[in-house]
Amino acid sequence: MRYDKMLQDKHILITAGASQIGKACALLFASHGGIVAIADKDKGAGKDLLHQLKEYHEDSRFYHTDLGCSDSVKDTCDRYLSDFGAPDVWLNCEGLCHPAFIDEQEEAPLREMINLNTLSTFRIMKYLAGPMKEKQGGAIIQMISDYAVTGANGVAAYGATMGGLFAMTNSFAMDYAPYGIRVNSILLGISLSAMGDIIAAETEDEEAEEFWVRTQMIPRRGKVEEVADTALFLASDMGSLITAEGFFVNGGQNSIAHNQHYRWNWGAKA
Amino acid sequence: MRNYAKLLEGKYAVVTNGGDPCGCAIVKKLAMHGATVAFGVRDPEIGEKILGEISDLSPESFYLMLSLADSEGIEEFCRKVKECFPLTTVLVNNPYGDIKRTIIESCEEDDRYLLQVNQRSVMQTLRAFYGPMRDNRCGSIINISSNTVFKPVLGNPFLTLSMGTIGGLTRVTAFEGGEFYVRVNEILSGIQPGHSELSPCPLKIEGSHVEGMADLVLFLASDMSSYITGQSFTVDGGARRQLFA
Amino acid sequence: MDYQRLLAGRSAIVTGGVGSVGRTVALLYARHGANVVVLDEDEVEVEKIVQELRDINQKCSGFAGNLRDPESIVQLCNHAINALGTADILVNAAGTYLSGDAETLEEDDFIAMIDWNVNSTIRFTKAIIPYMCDNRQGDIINITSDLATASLPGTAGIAACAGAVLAFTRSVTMDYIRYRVRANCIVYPLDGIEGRRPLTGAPAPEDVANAALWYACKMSRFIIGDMLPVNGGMDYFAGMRGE
Repeated sequence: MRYDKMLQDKHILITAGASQIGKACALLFASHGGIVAIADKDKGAGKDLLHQLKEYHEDSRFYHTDLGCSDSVKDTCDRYLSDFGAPDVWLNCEGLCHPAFIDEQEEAPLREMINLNTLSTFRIMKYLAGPMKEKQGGAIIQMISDYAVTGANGVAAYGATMGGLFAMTNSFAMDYAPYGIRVNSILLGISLSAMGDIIAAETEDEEAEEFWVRTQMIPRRGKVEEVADTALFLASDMGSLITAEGFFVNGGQNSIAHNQHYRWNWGAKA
Repeated sequence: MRNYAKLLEGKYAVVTNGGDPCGCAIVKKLAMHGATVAFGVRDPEIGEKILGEISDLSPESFYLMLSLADSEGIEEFCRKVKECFPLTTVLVNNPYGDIKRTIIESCEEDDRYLLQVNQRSVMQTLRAFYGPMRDNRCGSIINISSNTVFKPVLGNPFLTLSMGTIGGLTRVTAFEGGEFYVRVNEILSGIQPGHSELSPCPLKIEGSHVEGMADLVLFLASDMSSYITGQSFTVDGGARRQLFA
Repeated sequence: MDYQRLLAGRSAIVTGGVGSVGRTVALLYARHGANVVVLDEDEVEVEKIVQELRDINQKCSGFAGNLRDPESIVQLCNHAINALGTADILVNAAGTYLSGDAETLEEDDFIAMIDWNVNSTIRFTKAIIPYMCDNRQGDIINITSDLATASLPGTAGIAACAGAVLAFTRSVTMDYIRYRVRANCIVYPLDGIEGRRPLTGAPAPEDVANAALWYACKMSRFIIGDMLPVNGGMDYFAGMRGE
């Protein structure tokens, strides 16, 4: 394997990949020789990214997709499969967060989170699993919030959708391991998930700084490029032995025993 | 953009045990990516062989005779390495202790041997190399233990006992080193000490198993993993999460 | 503490009280002196279990209604609170499970399964937790499959539901522990999933119920956000003897 072209001529599908982490991954994968296709709801951002991707490879694609809608997902998967055949790498970056305490949790956001976070993966998997099985290989990577395995304030329902996704990913790993398909997840710390954006938007810089220092081993906010590097590792042959594993990219947040001393308060409850 | 073909360009790395198949693959991988490697071996023939293979890639690499059972020998090893290297930024602890005896069959001698090889050796190298890394705000430490910590195998209690402590040590050191940009991670290896293949696992794997291990070590040693610390990574082809049915 | 009547005078709500686990939990709680309300879908079965419960404790009752519908759940909870006066313990044991991998499991079945397992847990918790907060005490016990942490082929849907319930337990306890509301999770192997485990034999519903009793009583008052696997050590099992 050439380490500067780890994904040479590999077909890559990135769902919800038009911005932030998905975008960083798409550009890194393309620079490593991959043929990247993006599926996203945001048409403008998708077109912009496609423009950049075309510089790496002519065959790059953008599919306008609503991951919350069965028909749209089926349509995109059909088009991808007819364009490229089964993907070598499928990366899913979907993640929607409506923080709320459970006694104030509304029905609509709950349904929306389950639909986008948990069900979308299941839907896409339904169409891709068969072809990937025939191909006898491939890598699937899920971006998940690390609330899937740790507890935190104000994210009970969000954490539940992510916990379900994590367990389901591991179950998929068992289903398709005999076919050489590796299924892994990247567990993003608060600074890299949607919650990090909310914190950054709603607080003063100093307060946010203090939050990172108090809750993480590495006292700073993570960068999307750091997530992309981890995704590259799992997508390429570098991760050939690894399946059903969650990679924490969180600056060591989950391993600190007493980080609950500093509670993040959403202002919703005294 | 980062040079992915030479991820460890100009870095100095230490591997405590380069003698077993896994350690050997790790040394070669680190050297291939531009690191200068110092590694310990028990058999000079193996050392010469590895050195011959990597001399083109990193001419300054060298090996030293080292038995992890000998605590003074480890002190000596660390001292010599520190003399030769201006600054060690990658430390790979690859202990190899393995005694297949049940609790009833074993004797106190076995305890001492395994605790020295698998535990104390890690502590000693940490003591030697963590300080300079912290002072220079740069470093990555990788401790390799065994996946039997999570999935015990019958008839091998001492491997689990001695390897089980490495995880805790990893997290404490990572906590301490976080603000100094010293990252510490643990690999729970499915390749048992001395073997070159994984224990049986659900994943169909093509290619060399020890290469896969070495790739993870490379990932953790390089800046690719700059936001990952205090974690335990299981390399066992999914066996850890499999319920046996 | 009276170890014969660990839950004397406390009010407990057991969802899915007709199923083997929910039923056993309800009976055990009643024997330990709790006033139990069982909630489930089948009216006739609910009536049967209420009769059994009333033989032990007259103050027990039961209500039938749709457990997949948010409004019906609110209604059921109102009935339960009216009957009990308050709520100290909530056991979420409602659930249904279908096996299948991504290709064989239908999307509608998967959505139904999430409604049964995850959404019902979230909705019941939402409806009951304000009463617990007012009382400054409460114990929530979520019972789910042990596929939350370890996996088998062909169990994608079950794993998703179990993992969601486990993660929910951990987060919800962080939010409400300041009101002394505890949440814990019990995981057990589902019927029909036979495994080779260090402890031979399958766990009986009583084994799960005993764990639920322990989480509901004062003995575990310092344990929060915890998971107790009642599965004979199955997920720690790597190799057979001699391997």
